[in-house]
Amino acid sequence: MSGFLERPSRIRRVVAGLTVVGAVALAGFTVLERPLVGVAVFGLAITGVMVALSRTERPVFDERDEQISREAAEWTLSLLGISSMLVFPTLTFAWGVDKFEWQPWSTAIAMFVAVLYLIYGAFLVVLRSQR
Amino acid sequence: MITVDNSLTEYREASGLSQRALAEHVAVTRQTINAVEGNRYDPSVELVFKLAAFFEVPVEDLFHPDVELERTVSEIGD
Repeated sequence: MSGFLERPSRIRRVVAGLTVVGAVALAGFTVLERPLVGVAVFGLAITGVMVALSRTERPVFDERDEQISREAAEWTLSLLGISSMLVFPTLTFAWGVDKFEWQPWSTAIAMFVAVLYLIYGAFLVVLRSQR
Repeated sequence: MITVDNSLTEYREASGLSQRALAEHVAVTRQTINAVEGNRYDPSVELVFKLAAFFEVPVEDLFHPDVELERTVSEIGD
């Protein structure tokens, strides 16, 4: 096992695989009403991630990974922002003319997007004040 | 859009190093060295200086801005 995990590229694959397994297990077992099993599998997966990351002195993730992650985050926020600018005013208009009724799921999504952008705005203010 | 070409492959091969070995010396992954050499990734200022220090050459010997930028800079100078 230690031989297998000597190469950073393999560790990256293991970390990605365990993270997906943990997240899917948590969501899946929650849907199946087995929350404790979900949390246990998620905990094991995250422990596996920690162990895998500790198996090498060489960098597993570096500045290029950080840049890729930043770009992915930028695209995600932009996509979410643009779709929100189109979808939510349309839904609100439809609600105003009695063509749409806010449901718990649509309200939850709207609240999530609002909170996400509030957090984003707060970070913008804090980071701007530091530079 | 400014593009920056580099001579990293030439310097690395002249030193007899593999991408993996160079990556270990400057504490990044082999994929990052590969991406820099292939002009698919612009390294951070920190990595640029690490590479220049490792090969003991000025930064501009390793990394060269494109002709368009050089022309713009010379026009500003005029």
